Amino acid sequence: MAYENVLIKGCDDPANVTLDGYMKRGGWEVARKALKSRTPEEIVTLVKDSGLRGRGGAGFPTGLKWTFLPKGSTKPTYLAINADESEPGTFKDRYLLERNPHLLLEGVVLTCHAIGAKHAYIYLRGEFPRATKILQAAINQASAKGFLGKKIFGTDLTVDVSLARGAGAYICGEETGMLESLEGKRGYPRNKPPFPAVEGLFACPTIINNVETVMTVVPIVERGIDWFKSLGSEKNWGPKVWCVSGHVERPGIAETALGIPLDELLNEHFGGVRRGHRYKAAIPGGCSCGIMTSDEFGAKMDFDALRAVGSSLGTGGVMVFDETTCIPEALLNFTEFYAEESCGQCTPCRQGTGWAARILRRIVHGGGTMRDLDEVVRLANGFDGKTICALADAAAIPIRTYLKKFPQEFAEHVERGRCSLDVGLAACAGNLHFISGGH
Amino acid sequence: MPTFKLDGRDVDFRPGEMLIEAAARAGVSIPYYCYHPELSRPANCRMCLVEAKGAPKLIPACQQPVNDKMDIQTTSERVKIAQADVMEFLLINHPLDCPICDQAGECKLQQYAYLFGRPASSMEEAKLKLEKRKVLGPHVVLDQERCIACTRCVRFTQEITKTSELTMIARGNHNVVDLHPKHELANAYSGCVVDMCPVGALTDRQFRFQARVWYVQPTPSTCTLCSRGCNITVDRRGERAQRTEMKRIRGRRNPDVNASWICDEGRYGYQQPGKGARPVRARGATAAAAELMPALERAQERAAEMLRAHAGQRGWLGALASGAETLEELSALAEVARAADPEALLVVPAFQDGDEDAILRRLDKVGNRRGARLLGFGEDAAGLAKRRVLLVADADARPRAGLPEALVADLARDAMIAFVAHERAWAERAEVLLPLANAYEKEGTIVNFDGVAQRIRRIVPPPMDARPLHHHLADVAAGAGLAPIETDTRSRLSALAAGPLAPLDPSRLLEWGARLPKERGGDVTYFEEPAQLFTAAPKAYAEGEYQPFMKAQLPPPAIHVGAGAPSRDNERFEWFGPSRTNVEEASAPEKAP
Amino acid sequence: MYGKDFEDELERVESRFPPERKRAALLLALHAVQRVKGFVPDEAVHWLAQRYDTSPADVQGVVSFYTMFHDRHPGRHVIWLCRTFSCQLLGAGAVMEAFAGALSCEPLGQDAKGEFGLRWMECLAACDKAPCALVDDDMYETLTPDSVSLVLDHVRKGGGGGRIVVEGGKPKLVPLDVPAPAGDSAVPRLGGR
Repeated sequence: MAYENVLIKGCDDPANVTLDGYMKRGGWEVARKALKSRTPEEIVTLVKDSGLRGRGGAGFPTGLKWTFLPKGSTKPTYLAINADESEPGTFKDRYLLERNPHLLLEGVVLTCHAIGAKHAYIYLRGEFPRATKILQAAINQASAKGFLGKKIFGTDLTVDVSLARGAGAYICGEETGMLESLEGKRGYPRNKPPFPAVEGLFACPTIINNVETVMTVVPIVERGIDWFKSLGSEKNWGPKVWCVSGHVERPGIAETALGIPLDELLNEHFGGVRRGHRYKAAIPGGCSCGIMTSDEFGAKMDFDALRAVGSSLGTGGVMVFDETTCIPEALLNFTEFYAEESCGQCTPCRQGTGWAARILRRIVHGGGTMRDLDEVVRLANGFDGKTICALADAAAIPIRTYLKKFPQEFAEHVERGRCSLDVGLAACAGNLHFISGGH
Repeated sequence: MPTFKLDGRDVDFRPGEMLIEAAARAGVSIPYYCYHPELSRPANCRMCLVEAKGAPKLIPACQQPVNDKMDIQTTSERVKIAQADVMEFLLINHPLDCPICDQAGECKLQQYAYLFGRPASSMEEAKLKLEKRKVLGPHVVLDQERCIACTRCVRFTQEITKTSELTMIARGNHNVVDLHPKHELANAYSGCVVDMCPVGALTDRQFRFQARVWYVQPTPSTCTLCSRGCNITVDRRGERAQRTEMKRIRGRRNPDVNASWICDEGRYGYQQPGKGARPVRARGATAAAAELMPALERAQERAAEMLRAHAGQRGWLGALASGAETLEELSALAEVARAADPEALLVVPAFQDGDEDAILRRLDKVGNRRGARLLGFGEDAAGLAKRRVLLVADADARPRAGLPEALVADLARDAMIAFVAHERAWAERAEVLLPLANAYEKEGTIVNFDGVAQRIRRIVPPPMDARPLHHHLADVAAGAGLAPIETDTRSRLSALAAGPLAPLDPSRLLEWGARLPKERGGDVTYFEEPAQLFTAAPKAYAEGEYQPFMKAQLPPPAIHVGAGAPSRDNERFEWFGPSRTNVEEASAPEKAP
Repeated sequence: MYGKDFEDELERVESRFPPERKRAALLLALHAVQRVKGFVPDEAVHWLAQRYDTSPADVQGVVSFYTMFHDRHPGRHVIWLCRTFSCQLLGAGAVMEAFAGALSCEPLGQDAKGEFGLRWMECLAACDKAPCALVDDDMYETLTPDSVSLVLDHVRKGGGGGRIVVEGGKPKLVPLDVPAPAGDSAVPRLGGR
């Protein structure tokens, strides 16, 4: 049976961003029915039993997170939607926001009903002005129709959706960094405990979910657990939106069940490796995942199976590298990314990522030594696991896995002072600039 | 009390306490930079990471409340490696400034590098270049390169003074502490950020390059510049009487009086005035009496004359004091005045000045107001107008403080003997002027507005003829034929402890004071040394295994008050412990001439 | 400070947050100020500090934390070119060189006329359209080194974004798949009432 899209359904139709266009496809019906026929507890149990895992990168069981809200709190509960998609290689949330905004809003209504939240804040990247406008227009239309705001769908329920904007900081995609930024401050992640479900936005109980996760709640409520568990495998169920970029014929978006093998995903949905080239490596879910060599492409794309090949599912943002890719250059690019985006709060990340980037720059551009290769892994082990948030942990993963799986390329850079691949400046850009502050 | 497992043994804890505090009370030292007992706990330095059984990652001890199921290791391999890693990361961009940095000798980075760091660095890259001499305000200079981004200073201006002058700018490696360009760090507690900066990033403009900290002697004392009586540590340089001088005043932690802070007035108010601003030689009615003995004789003469003139009368004598005097001095003044005239009027007038705030500063700038009241000194100076003879004492060392000019000038009298610690215009009209030791030059006891009795210590010897008031008074009274008064400060305190300060036991009055009972018959609460957070004097120091040059610098161990490692280094580092040197010396009885 | 309409809109935005947490609107306010002035001037820092009951240093700390806020004028149109690896693989480095050459300025700088500022930006989440750039509110996708002048001209004439396709060996700017909607995104008019 062919897979039927539920999340990207309608995304090809420009009218889908309008309320009428969305409703023509049966949109908003799930929310209308569920608000009247299902209690909050029923929806929480449904989502929990479905085994839905967060689609923002961490893969935490969503329904379980919802149950962490304290019972009987006198403070208001908030829903915060993390639309600060900044993980390199990931663009599925942008795609969904700009083409299917009403599905997100419908998911927000269901989620707010389930967790007892009256206010939802959608935190969008500052670099998404287009998505901001589209989403705002969708909110306005839905409000005008009585689907958002006070007494929605003729019930006593209030679901008030507001937009908040970031301004160019990856660390504001970390859930507590996002909360700090939402509160109008520097985006410093908070120490946990206390967890956001207990003390989150404005010190009130808060649930934070990714865009895709909340959108997936809608088909779960509509079609039920049996459908959801018909896709994927044990503890890794449901649909997933993939975003593939790099050296494939047709970079873009596709939706399948979780657990599709990587090579099948790339070959069937994205045209395979670009013509005249061969696969070399891939990162399956954003740069915070370990790199996979081409002979590992048979691995299933889900949370658990990828661990066996030393990687992880992350966001599902796949970057594909063919034989013209310089792996040390990739590592430098990503490490500079982490150094640039580190918030600077805690010592190991602030100092360690900067130091690692400097060492790697020497390795890649000439001036590196064999000792540097060991040194940079030692550094990665030094800042891994010692910090307030997981940025340092994420920065350590590429360093360790790239050096482990492609040691010869690094050794060549050290010995020859430059890349052994004869690809010219454009692809192996020796002119990467280290961004400093961007002001 | 509930217990938890710490390094293999059962240790008790108070519910709500953080791991680092509970460990400290058990004598286990966990290193830290960003933690401060009075501020919020961001746990961003990551130096206090410890291993907890069952937790996959190391946890920061400053932020972790203790529960009875915990099993903590503070010296395991993982912890030691983490500490060494954090030290290495901190030193990556840290400039090699130790030879020129004020903080050397009391720098946490140095101390922890010695205790927890790796012997060699593998950092070969260029270090970041930032501003090195940024003047933040009248008292503080910032060196951004030395900063370890612990954010103590930023949090201080946000949470304590609530003025938020300081902020972190930029992010990541380029994170720096800075001001807004059009503003300066000029709040009333700006010097506190220097105290609390664990490294030499924030330095005191006045102390910069003045002395190496291992050459100064720290002495605990109490500030007398307002009725709060904040606890201070005064650093002085030089052993010989002629050359000794005060180099620096720092806040000393006392949770019951001043938390960890002192205001800028108290910190910089010791400025020794230039020559001529303070009388150091006694003066009598004639120029020839410009020496102590002749002046004393003149005073004795005049006192005897006045006693004869008013024999049998009452209500002719007024004793006026500024309130900056100690209890021992004021009680001597009261004793002599009452001996001469049983209805002598004792006054310490009101003196309100400057600002008051919810943190420390009080409008009442009389350090010993409460003490004066306890001894029977009133505040109303109106009755003095009718007094013919005046004894006026003003131990206040500030130029624009002490007894108001207007008050004293108006008083008509037959005779006036003045005791002053700072040049005062009204003192010109005194027949005899005897110089007083100021608050840094004598031992004594004062009582703050809250009823806490505290000690002030002699840090530097008083110059030339200056002496504590009771020493001068003893000579004047004896020569005038009055009953002798006790000159030994400690004996005076014991007498007071049996009288107005009862039931105070002076032997239990430590450097952190004691709260006197609110009503008669109540108990005295003696304050003890606040828990020290880091007591691990380096094993090497304690066992004598250190480099020969360090051995030469280490002064002999002093007798200290309270428990703790017997090392003088403890008061150099902000380990929230007491200053322990010099107490023995400072308690030595003074010699009257 | 920037007119009654601006302040009315700002108040509307602030009303979306709890009354004692008005400060949560700070980032939105800064975006709005930047829309008016092109950057965040000192007067705005002071004004917002007072408005949200904090210090100018605190607001300056927020401004300096985020890459998109400028504390001095960056040029009328800021070109944010993505430097993360998918874009690098497909030639972002050469595109940046082309922009720098066309504008005679360095990355992180602006051209002599102050018309364009040139910046690198981390992953713009349009990796399938690599190499891409964000200019003002608009995306320019699948750029090539010889298409930069088309982009610059398009921006000068009002912008709106576009995609570069190569036809007959020459670059051509065609409309985006997702057109830019009308309206001002800087301070979103928040619905729900």
